[in-house]
Amino acid sequence: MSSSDPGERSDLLHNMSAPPKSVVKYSGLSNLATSSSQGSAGVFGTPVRFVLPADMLGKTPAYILRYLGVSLLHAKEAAQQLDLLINARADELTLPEGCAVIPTASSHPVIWPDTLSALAILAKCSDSIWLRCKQPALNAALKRRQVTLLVPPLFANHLPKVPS
Amino acid sequence: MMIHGGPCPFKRLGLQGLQGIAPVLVAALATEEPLLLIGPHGTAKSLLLTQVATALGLEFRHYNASLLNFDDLVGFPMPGKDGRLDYVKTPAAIWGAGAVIFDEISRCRPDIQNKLFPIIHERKVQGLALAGLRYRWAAMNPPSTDDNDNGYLGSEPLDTALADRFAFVVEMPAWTALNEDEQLAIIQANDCPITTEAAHYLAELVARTRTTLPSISQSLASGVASYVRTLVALLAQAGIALSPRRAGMLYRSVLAVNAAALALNPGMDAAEAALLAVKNALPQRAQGIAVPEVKLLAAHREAWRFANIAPGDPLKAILCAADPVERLRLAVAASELPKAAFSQVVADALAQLQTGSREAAIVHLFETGAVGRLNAAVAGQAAELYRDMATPPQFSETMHASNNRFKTWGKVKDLLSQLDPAQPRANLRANALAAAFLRKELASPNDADLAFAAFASTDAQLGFA
Repeated sequence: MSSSDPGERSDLLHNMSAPPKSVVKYSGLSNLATSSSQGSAGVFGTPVRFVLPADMLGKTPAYILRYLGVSLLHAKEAAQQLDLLINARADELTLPEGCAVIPTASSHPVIWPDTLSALAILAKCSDSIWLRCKQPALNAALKRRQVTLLVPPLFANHLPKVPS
Repeated sequence: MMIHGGPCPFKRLGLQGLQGIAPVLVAALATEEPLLLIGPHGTAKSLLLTQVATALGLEFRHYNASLLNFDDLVGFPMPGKDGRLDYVKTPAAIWGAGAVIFDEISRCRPDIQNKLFPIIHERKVQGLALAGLRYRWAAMNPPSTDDNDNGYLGSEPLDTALADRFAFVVEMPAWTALNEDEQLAIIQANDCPITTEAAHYLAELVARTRTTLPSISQSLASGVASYVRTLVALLAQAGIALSPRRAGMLYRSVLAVNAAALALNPGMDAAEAALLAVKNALPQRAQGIAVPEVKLLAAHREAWRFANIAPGDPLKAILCAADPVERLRLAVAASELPKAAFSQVVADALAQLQTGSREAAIVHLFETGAVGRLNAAVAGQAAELYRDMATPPQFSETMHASNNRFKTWGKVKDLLSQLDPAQPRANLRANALAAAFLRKELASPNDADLAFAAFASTDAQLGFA
């Protein structure tokens, strides 16, 4: 986890009184997968990725409702109608009430590939956490395409199998 | 706090600027509990006590404790007729006094201080009851301690046990706290005899407080008891420890100050009177230990708020738990706790936990799913730390080998080598330690040791070891 600095020798030639430098490194206790067959190496828990279709970014609630195949009840209330759908979907997802957000990698499995699930996550997500009970923020959701949540090991067995 | 009702009884005795602590002083007179005044020289501590004793018509003795010999107190010992020890009573001896004032109590010799202890505590000297002694008062300058630059050299912190015998520990208002009129009145003061009206007014207030106290006690007893219980727990969490005796004293003081406040100003708020009582009933001031105003105020507000919560409410048990890990565990278990209260308890607990322990507590929040009950701000902060544990923080840092940070890293490596990478929890613990090092929270190898051990013990306490 630490090693000598390759530049140490040349420093020594220039200044004998300068203390030697070292580089310390850390990248995890081991490279072993630690908890889940679905997880990534070194990660404690199961990463689950949610992806929004590329053509969804920046679209209006009315457009998204049409995309989802939902009839619009009142044109002026599209946002509220979409929020209700997002909240309902968030309640259905077998996730804990809150999950940490981790940097996304393409290796992270997409368990719920549908658009409404992705919206249910992205609209209730900050840079660090997803909270089921949070009020949906559609503008924030439509600014980024994907996010990975880390599901703690105790909740991992509630997750559906990864679709092949 | 100002008394908006009748005039301040102490102003009538020629004492300025005491309206803010008047209810406390009247409460001390009504309850006859020991009273200690603390203040810089020239703040009228002795004058206050002698004027009050005179106004109440008490036979009193005024001793300078720094010059006191035991013989001065009791007189000269002499064998009695039946083998008993009698004392030749001098006019200055304590026998027969209704009030006693020990001035400069923090400057007296330890052996004399020990002899004053039973007088203050139980109105006894050499095991003999001091019949007729009602009031035990003392005064001192702020003690000199490492923490108190304004303390007086020669004024020693009072012994903990002795300090704990004074039910009322009152800080005298400083010159700068007085308004212009009061300062001018002090400058132009001359010795005037106490008028009959002023003496009568004070006696009347004391009597009215005594009369009101039983009914105040009846109506506020359970609320004040609950308030004091929560307050003591919250102060302990803030590092201000109080004895069980002090808890009882606080209870009685809060009731008495409420009764006195009612006598002085019938419109006064009970919470305000309670805070005034608490501010003037902490023994720490006599020991030179600073009591941060902010911590005291925060604890008072919380305790007062929860004084009216139903006895079975889990929040009461949570707030009264001294250990922040236990508070967090109880809060997680109490799923009915509202989001705001839960978030507050968790945020407070996390702020009090040391590195290592805090990380294990955060793991607990995520593994139980309780993080979802937090408000977004607290949950977000917890998630940032959790991410650094659940996914290995990756870093590379160049440092001098002579640097203390390099030595700390050496200790971190030693500790990590004790862990089995095949154990999932070992990875969490390793990442927690590495992340704390990265955040520069480990300033020494000892810090690394402490954080490593704290993670394991908290993890075990929360049932996940």
